[in-house]
Parts: sequence; structure tokens; C-alpha cells
Amino acid sequence: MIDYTGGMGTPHSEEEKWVFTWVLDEAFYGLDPERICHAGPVPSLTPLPFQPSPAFRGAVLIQGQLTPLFCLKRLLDLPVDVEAKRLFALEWKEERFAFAVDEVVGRVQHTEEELLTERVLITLAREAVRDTL
Amino acid sequence: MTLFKSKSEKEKLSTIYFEELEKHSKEVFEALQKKDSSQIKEGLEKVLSISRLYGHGDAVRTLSSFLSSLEQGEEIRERVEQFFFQIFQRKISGLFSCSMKEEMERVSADLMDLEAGKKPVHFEEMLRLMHSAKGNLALMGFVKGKELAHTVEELLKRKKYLSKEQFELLFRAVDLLQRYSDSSLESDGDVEETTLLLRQTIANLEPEDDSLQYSETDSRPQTSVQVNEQVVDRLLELIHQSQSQIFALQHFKENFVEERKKISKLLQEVHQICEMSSEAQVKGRLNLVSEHLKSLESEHFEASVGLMGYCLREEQLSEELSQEALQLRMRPFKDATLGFRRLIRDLSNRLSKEVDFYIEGEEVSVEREVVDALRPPLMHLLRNAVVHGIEEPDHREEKGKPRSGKIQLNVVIQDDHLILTLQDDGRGVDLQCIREKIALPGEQLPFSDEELMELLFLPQFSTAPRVTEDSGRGMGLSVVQKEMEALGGEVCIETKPGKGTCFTLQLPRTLTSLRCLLFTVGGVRFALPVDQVERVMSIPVGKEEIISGKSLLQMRGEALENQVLLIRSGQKQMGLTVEKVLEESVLTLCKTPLFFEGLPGIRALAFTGEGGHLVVLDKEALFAAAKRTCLEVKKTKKKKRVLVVDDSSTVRELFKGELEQAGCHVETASHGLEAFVMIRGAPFDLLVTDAVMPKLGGIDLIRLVKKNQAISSISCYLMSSSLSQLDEARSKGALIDRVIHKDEALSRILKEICN
Repeated sequence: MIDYTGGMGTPHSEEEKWVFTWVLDEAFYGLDPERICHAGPVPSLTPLPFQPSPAFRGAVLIQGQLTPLFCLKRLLDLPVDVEAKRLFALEWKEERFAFAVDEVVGRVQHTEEELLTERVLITLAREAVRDTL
Repeated sequence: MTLFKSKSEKEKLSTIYFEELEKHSKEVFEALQKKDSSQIKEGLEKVLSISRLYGHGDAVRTLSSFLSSLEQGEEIRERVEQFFFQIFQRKISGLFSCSMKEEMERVSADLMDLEAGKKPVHFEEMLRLMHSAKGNLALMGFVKGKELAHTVEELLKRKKYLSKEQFELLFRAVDLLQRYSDSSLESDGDVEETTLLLRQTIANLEPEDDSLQYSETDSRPQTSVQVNEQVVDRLLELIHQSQSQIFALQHFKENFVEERKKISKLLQEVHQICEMSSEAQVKGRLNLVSEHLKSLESEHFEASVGLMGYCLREEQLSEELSQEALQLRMRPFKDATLGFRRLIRDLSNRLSKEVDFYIEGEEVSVEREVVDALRPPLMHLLRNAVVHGIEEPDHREEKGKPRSGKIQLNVVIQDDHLILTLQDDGRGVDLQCIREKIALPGEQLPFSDEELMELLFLPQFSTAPRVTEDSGRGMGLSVVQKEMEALGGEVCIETKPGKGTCFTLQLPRTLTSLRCLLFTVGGVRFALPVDQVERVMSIPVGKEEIISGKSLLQMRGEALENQVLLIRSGQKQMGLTVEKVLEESVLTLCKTPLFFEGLPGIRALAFTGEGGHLVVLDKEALFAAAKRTCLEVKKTKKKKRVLVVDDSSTVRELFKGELEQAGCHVETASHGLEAFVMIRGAPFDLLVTDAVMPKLGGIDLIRLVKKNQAISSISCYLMSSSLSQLDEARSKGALIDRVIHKDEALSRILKEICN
């Protein structure tokens, strides 16, 4: 069941679990919607020197804050035919991380998608640039 | 202007939330006074919904409990008042901390002047500051502190001439009061004792002491204003958004112009139809359409002219706002010097020295962060000057100097840089002592005086014969250097034996804007601070080797045009090929999020005029990348020259034999000092050194090599058999290219060295 209100809907009852869902390489993935602070198209990028990692695409401005943008397909070792054009951003201990994905579905009721945790995503992002630090 | 930083606000609380809360709390208090239950309920519900909106869970829970108590008819007035008191206390704790610290520093400075007999005496200001501190302490619930402030105020009111003991007591009281600002006071015992002593002093005062005439005092004009840092940051954020909006409007304006062109073209076509058609009715209709289009075009033109004017005004306004907001961040340098006179007074009293301290340039305005960051290194240098520099009065007299030593701090602005010089007329740095500290008996070291002075900046290097309460650990100058480097500045030292020492600190005046040269590489815009670019050269494509001996760097592996930026770092110079040099511009730097701080090559991220961002490159990262590129080229061309340093001849010979077999040219040294002399005489590609050796250990040898720009490109490997030494080496910095544990298989180490 898709929430077409753009993420503003609320579960109808305590038992219903909502998941923020996106598409990568035709597969659905999900995350706890409370962690998501922004979703939308990839804005203009500020590339960085010495490309710290192939999965790191640069800095983007999200809600007035510079945020590192990662290609989630590359982080998860999925094939990259076309650069993803949508993104979602999540907050983690006063820091923000953005991840580029093929499609953002929005908040849906929990079905069959693979659930990730924000900790996994952020660990993958940090690991990707670790060697350059 | 004075700014303050409120950490609790920044972390947890929102200014808007407090404004809303304050507004509705008044309604609640009025209702509580009237005992109007429905109004109390209404007010509390408003506060509840605001707290819920801003995510203050604790407040939501407390307010919900008030509402349920109210429904059950319970008395809640006291609890509600307590709740609001606690909330507002949290809000003002940041303000209290900042103002208390500043007020006590000012009182301390005024007491110093009073003690030194300087005129005019700022009695009124001292009394005002103590009175204000008393009120603030009472507001924050520090009852004992309030009593202490009150007794200080009383003594100052009644006593015009103070004895040395009374000054000491007042300084002690001021120090204690200052400790309320950073919550470092563990108990009220000292406060109570000092209050008692002050009361006894007041009780023993002679009756004539009551006749203090304020007419003799001077009233210093109040020139500082406190501004919340959040407000300034928000202002800058709004300006940036406004600039982005202008950019969007610009796009809209271009569309507008394009549409007008289309309408003009349409009008021309309608005119042509009118001329060709023979049907009168059609002609009439077309004429009507033509009239409408004419009027539309005219309206459109007026609107686009208006829009262009709007864009221009907005652009000017946002520029002015930006400049004003940046000015808010500036403070007089004087704010950095608060407490310096006191430090020198206390130290010189303790060491029985006489010191005159002068400051010039206190009115120079400097950015707040720079002011805050400068205080610790300056305090350290001042302490050094008093402890090590200035001689005892009798010694000075014997040398024909005045009994009082002189320390002079000068501050000037030169080309957007802040230049500070701290000069003393003391004994100077004993270079012979440094030589003796590192040389073998009878050994002549080939070091210049400048090189010997550089050793002073090495951690744990000290010429002091013993560690005292004030100095002698050898950590201070290395910390000063690190702090200056973190600010993008540098520190250098000059000394004349017997005549004194002069430290020069140079750093950017502001950390929020930077004059940069903008250029493109691989289609991407980057910037470098202009003071790091020596000149821009044009080199024919394919002829880059013209700059013989200098490395050229392709940053992103893209096609290169023929413009080269010549950049310099100390004695190193490098040409950087770029596609196109764009312009010179003053860039506003943005707060760099934590994540980007560790990434290579980034000095800062800056706003661009179009609402975007670009990277200001880190010069040192460029040199490091160039060095890696050069080493890769060299590797394929010649035998690697390796210097093995170990006090064990077995290890030296083992490494020498194996490395020579692997095709390297190997030389050996038995301690760090010998190695340093050898490296300066002939260049090596690789230094492999033991950690612990006589004279100069491996860690300090590497530091010395990396600090000396002529030889700093040598790769340095540190060997040790002790894990704790390896940890120490790691903790001392990242200049060591590889740390080798002696337990590692020799074949693996050798393979890595040869590769």
C-alpha cells in the first residue's frame, strides 16, 4: 500500500508498519522512515578532488546543509548502467548522508522489501572513503 | 562587539521555541494569578502543542501531567512556576557563562590597573560589573557566589586604597567567581572562606574609608554588544538562501526576455496575415488579436524592466547584508588579551621578577574564532617570556639592563593577515645549550642557528634544566605551532643571546572569507588562496617540461590546457596545470561538515555567487600528490638509496646485506644525529630507522627530516620491537610513512621496501 501523500501519512493502526522504500536495480529496499530527512532528485553536485572513492559522488546541498552523496549501487556492489538520479538523505548523530538511488517510492506499508538499517548504510559509506582518511 | 556562544542552546534548544514559550508563559502566569482554570488550561495546552511541535519530549510529559492534575482540581501553581523557571534557566545558562567570564576578566584587569597605580581608575565600571555579576549569580541560584560578589562590591565601595593583602584577597575572590562560568567549582568551601575574610576586612575598615569620592573616577564608555552566535549564523544562512533566490530570479528573468521575443515574432506573423487576407471579418478579428498582443507585449516589457531592477536591488542588498553579518563576527583584539596582565603580574610576583608589559594594536578588529584561538598560544608564549626570558632584577642590573624586564606585544594587519610580534628583552635562547643537548661530547654539529631553533618546536624538547609548575616540559612550543597551523598560520622565532627573543605569529585575519583564485580542472571549478599562488604562466601544450625539475600535476586526469599556476610551500615550488584561470574573488567559507574534514585535498568549502559551492584546495595535499607522482617516475629509473639507522650493528648489517642483494644502494648510521647529518649531505629515497637510539631517537629524527623542506620528501619507515613505542609514534603524528614491528617477517619488510 503506497502512501501518495508524499510521506506525510501515518499508519492506520499500531500494528501497521511503515517503511521508507526505494528501488535499486529493479529491487525494493527499505528503511525506518523516521531516519529519513529528505528525498528528491539529485541536485547539482560539488565534485571533490582526489575522488576518495568511486562510490562517492560529491557534496550536495540539502536543506541548506552540505551533505556527502554516495552511489548506493556502488556501495552495495550492484551493476551501474546509468547514474542514479534520485536521492534520499538520512541523519546520523548530527551528520547527514545522502544516497543516490534509481527511484524513491516513499512510505509504504511493510511488505516484501529488503530492510536495511541506517547503521549499515553509514558504515558502508564510511568504509568507502576510509583508505583516504 | 562581543559575541557569545551558548552550547546548551545550540545543542538542544531552538530560539523560536523559547520566543513562543515566553509569549505563552505570560498568559499562563496571568491565568494562575486570576486562578482562572479554563485560561490556565488553554495556556498550558498552547505550550504543550508548541513543545510537541519542537520535539521537547520532557516538557510534553510534564505539561500533560499538569493538565491532568488541573482536571482533578489539584493545586499546580508552584509546579508550573518551577517548570518555567527551569526551562528559562537552561536558556540563559550559556549567556550567564559567557558574561560571567568576561565580567570577571574585566574586573581583574581593572584591579591590576588599580594596583599598578594607573589612572584613570575604573571604580564605577568595577562596581557595575560586580553588581551585574551578583544579579546573574542570584538568577542562576548560586547563593554563596552572590554573597561573595556582594562582599567584593562592598569592599570596593568603601575602600579607596587597598593593601597588598587586600588586593590578593580580591584577586582570589574574582578567580573564584570566574569559576562559576565554567562550572569548575567543586565545592562552596573556598567561596565561603573568602567571603568571611572579606567581611572581616570590611569590618576592620577605618571610618574615613567610607568617604570614597566617585568624582575622581572615570566612566568608561560601554562599547560592546552581545550577539547570539546562532542569530549570526542564521543571518548568514538567510543571506545565502537569498542569494540562491536571486539566482533563481535571474533564470526567470531570462525566460521572460525569451517569451517577449516570441510574442514579438507572433505579432509580426499576425501583421503578415492581415496584409494577405481578403476577408474583412477575418481581418477585423486579427486586428483585434494584434491589439491585444501589442498591449501584452507592453505589459511584459514593463514587468521585465521592473524585475531587472528588483534583481539589481536584491543583489546589492544581499551583498550589504553579507558584509554587515561578517562584521558582527569581528571583535577587537583587546578581547584576546584579557587576563594577560594578570598572568604576568602573578608569574612575576611568584618568581620575584619585575616585568613591564605593553600591548599595541588592541583596537585592531579580528574575527571571533581567531580571537578565541589566539589566547592559549599567546598565554603560553607570555609565560615562557616571563619564566625563561626575563632575568631576575639583580642579574639584569649586573648586565647593565634596567631592573624591570620589558615584554611588548604588537598587533598589526597586513594584506588581510594578522601579524603578532611578542618581543622580550630577556636573556634570549641559549643556542649553545641546544647544541649540548643533542651533540656527543666534543662533536661539532653542522646545524645552522635557524635549524637549532627549529628543535624548540619538537615535542618534549626543552632547554629548561628542570620541570616546574610553569614550564620545562617541552610541550608548549610544539602545541603553539600546531595551533597556529590549524588556523592556517605560522610561527617563527628570532633570538639574540643576551638581548631577547621575538616570536612572530602570522595568521589570516578572518576564517570565514578567503581571497582566492578560481580555475577549472576537468570542467570542475576549484579555488586556491591567492597568497599561495606565486604567478600564472602560459605554457604551450605538450611543453610542460619547460619548468625543469618541478612536478606538474593532473588533478583529475582530464585533458589539459596550457595555463599553469605556480604555487609555493616554503622552499618547495610546483606548477599546477589547469584548464582555465577564471577570476580572483573573495569567497565566503561555509561551515565544513564533519565528514568532509578528513578528506584529502580540501582546505575548505566555499559558497559561490550562484548559490552553489566549490572546493578551496589544500596546498599541502597537492604537494603530497605531486611527490607521490614523482616517486613513481623515479622508481623506474634508478637504484633506490636507503639509509638504515639502528644502534644494533646486527640489525644494520642484516638489512644492508638483504637490501643490497635486492638492488638498493644502502648506507648505515648508528644513531639519529649521525643519520640526520648524512641525509643533509646526500639525498636518500628511504630512511629505515629504529625508534629508540642514543642522542636522537627515530621518532624525533623523522620529525626533523619532515620539517626540513629540503629533505622532507624522503619516505620514512620506523622500526620498533615494542608495541608501546609504535603507539607513541602513531600518536605523535602522521608524518611516518610506515611503522614496522620488528617481529614482522624480514622478507615481507624487504619486499615492501624494494617495491
